[in-house]
Amino acid sequence: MSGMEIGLWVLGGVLLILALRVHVGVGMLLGGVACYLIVNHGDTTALLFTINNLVYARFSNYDLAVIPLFVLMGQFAIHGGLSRALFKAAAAFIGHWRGGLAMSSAGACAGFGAICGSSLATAATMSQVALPELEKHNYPSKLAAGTVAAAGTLGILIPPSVPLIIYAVLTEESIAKLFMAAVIPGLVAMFGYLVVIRLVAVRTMASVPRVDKAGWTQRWRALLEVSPVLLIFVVVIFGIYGGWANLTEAASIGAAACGLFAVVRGGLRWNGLYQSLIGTAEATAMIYLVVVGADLLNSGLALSQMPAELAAWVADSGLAPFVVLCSILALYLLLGCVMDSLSMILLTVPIFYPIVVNLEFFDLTYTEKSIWFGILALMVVEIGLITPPMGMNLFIVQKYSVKTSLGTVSRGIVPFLCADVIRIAILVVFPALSLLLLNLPGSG
Amino acid sequence: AEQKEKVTLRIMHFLPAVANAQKNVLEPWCADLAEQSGNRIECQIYPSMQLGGTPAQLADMARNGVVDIVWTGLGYAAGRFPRSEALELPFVMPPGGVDGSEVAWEFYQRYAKDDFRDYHVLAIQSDGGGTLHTARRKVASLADMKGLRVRASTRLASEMLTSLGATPVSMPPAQIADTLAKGVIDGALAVWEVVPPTKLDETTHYHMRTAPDQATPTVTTLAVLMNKKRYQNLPDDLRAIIDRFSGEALSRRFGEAWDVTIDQVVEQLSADPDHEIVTLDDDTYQSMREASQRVTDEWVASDKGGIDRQALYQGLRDIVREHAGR
Amino acid sequence: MVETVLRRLSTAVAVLGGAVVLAVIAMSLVSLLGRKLWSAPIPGDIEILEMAIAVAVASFMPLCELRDNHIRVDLIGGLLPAWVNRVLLLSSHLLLALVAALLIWRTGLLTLDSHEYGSTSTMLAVPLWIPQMLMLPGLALLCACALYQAARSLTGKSLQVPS
Ligand code: NA
Ligand code: NA
Repeated sequence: MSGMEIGLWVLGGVLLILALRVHVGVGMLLGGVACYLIVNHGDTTALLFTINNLVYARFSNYDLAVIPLFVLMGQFAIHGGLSRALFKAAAAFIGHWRGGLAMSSAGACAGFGAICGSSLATAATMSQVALPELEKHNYPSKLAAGTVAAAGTLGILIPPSVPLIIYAVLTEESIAKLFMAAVIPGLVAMFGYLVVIRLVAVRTMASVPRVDKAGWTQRWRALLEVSPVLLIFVVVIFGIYGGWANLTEAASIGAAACGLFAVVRGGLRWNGLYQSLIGTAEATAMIYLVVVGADLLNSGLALSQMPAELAAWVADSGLAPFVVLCSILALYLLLGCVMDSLSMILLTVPIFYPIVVNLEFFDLTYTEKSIWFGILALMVVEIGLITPPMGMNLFIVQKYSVKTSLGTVSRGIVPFLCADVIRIAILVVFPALSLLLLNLPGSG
Repeated sequence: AEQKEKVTLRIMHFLPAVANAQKNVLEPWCADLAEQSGNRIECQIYPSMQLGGTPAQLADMARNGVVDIVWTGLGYAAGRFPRSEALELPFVMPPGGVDGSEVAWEFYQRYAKDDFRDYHVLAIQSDGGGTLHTARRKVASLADMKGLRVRASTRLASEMLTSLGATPVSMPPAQIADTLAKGVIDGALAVWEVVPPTKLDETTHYHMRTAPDQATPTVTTLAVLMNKKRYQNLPDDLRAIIDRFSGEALSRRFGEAWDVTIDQVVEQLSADPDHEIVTLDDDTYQSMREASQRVTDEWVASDKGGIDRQALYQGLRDIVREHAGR
Repeated sequence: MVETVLRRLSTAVAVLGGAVVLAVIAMSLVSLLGRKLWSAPIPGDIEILEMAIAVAVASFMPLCELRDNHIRVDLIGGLLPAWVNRVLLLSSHLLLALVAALLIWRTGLLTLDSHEYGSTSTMLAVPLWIPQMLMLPGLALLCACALYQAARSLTGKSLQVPS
């Protein structure tokens, strides 16, 4: 069998057993097992010894370690009332609009994303705060779940951002430049989500009563309540950019700062601390079980040579640069439906990166192309988090919203996916949006 | 006539696909094997640990047959290759990729074979020796090292830095450039070859090196290791082809590729007014060497695993002397 | 009875893991302050973090399974009769138990291997079998919880542990 055939059979099989309610991590792991058995004609040596290393290698990974740290930060933010304050502040200003509370959720996600580098942590945190509010105000569950799942991705779209770190590692690009480049596209993303919420709300929420408009006293009070977030933001940013910490350490700073505020301002006591730790344990465990499964599936697919065959096919097609780029992005969108984001970057960037940076686009320099493609890769990977059937953010939102089925979340996400695709098209056509801040004097 | 057997060698390493080791050594090496065997030997190279695991687990992966061949740093799997640690002692190895690799290969042949009983060794390589790259402070004397926060990646390199008065700092490779730019760390101990890929050329301005006739402060020893059973089970003619292109030949090949890159980088940085390369004078060199002697003494004094480390150290020095005399 | 024991055990293990994360945060902060202010970071801080987080994450696993919160795709569950769902859930928890057993077996072998070959961490020379062995209780408890969940789904009572 060719790599393509193996890959397609295995992925099809994984989708089937996932539909039969097998745990996602388990299903992916079994997919990896199948790849190894097929490629090695039933010989189990390589498979078994790969599994020897699997758990420790993934659990002890320094880059992934930010996940529990950011998740704990989120738990402190929840139990200390910080994430609620974020939501309330946004709601005080735009909550009375049609769909305003959903917009406020997106705004709160963006605010949290500015201190959190993980989409999954952002989605888990904001699900617990925003979903109950939206439910209480009779927002349609499709819109509520779609909003939180999509806006959760602002955790990585707005720097700091874990996938960008991985991209930097693989391409030997500067993390600081990539973060800088991600700022405008991240804001564009947030704006796109606001527009989508507005459009959906106008269409579907005519009968839902609006929230009362907040007065200015209320608004100032809400802003005052949220000021700790600003302070934490400053501390984290200063930690990263002021020469104190690397990114994983910055996650520690953020968690410690949120914890401190939760104790001092939010009245966090032993019980709250206990709840925070339990919440961290659960959210971390559910993410890492998938991470472990995805890792074996990932290496199984690499072993089958499927990604390499795909890339060779694109590279040898002899198409115009833009067609090549668009095929690559389209391929990412397809892969993103069934693969997890880290695996996708790890597997495909080494293959596509040399292709893209050696093509001609708008007279961009090598570095510019490399940064630009990094942002594009971030965007498509981000979409992978919210494309059904396998999207981590969809899973997480569904977990925290007891009444919502994955089908509902999946339907709710569709308009946001459209916004994402439009945004990617804009970023492809206007590289300046990614490169603008880099060319400012005194940066880089 | 019977069908001649074909083999596919799976090779994994820890660096991106664009790295020197893959582009300029492993791929050409594979091309040679393919050509000589009439395409009966094919390589599949997996960069960036694509088949899972961590760099520290690479050697085990070759031993257990997860892949056929790995390229790895011996120091990553700390404790696994105790005899070969001698190569990483401070101020012993000659600078340069080819010179260092020849010494390393010779040392392996004479003294370190017991480290590799579970492997078939295809190459042992020196990375040419680490130099000290600093962002703001120029280092030209032992006193300049005091309190300097320097990124180092192995225990012996860290102990060497401590013995010179500096502070060794751990930092993942991807974050070296950014943390240097922001002043989280002051410098990094790294071979010239990795200066462009880790962006040290953008974030540091001073580069302290030893003279060509002086030993380098530290080296990283890298090796290409093959699963032993896999090697033994190859058809005789294919094994002969691999033999012809491996061992000293492949070690040299690595050394040459490294030297080409090292020369390029040094030339480029010398011409750049933003950069200053400091070559140590003999007095400073001697003072640093003496200061770091206690690291060697401590290593030699250990008899862990019943290994006569004094003999290894003496033997290595003899090889270095013989090599210099050639 | 079994449930009480499992719940207490997995909660205790999860809280211990959480405490490890808190300790890691404190260690990172001390190290970065020491590095910035006195050029004196905690040696090997990165590898301490790596080893500690590995143990913590392993100990987070069982509680998540006991509360049935590991991620599943529930697309068609609603369309099927109750007994089919029961069979599906039974097999999914059994598969998780099986995978957990596989991971325990292989991670156990890794631990023995690290012990035999004397693998250590790079900077501090901490024997790697220690953190690797400390992951095993978490994985073993995960396996037990998955078996318990399988038994529960057989009886048809969906387990709701109060959170
Ligand atoms: Na972020
Ligand atoms: Na997806």
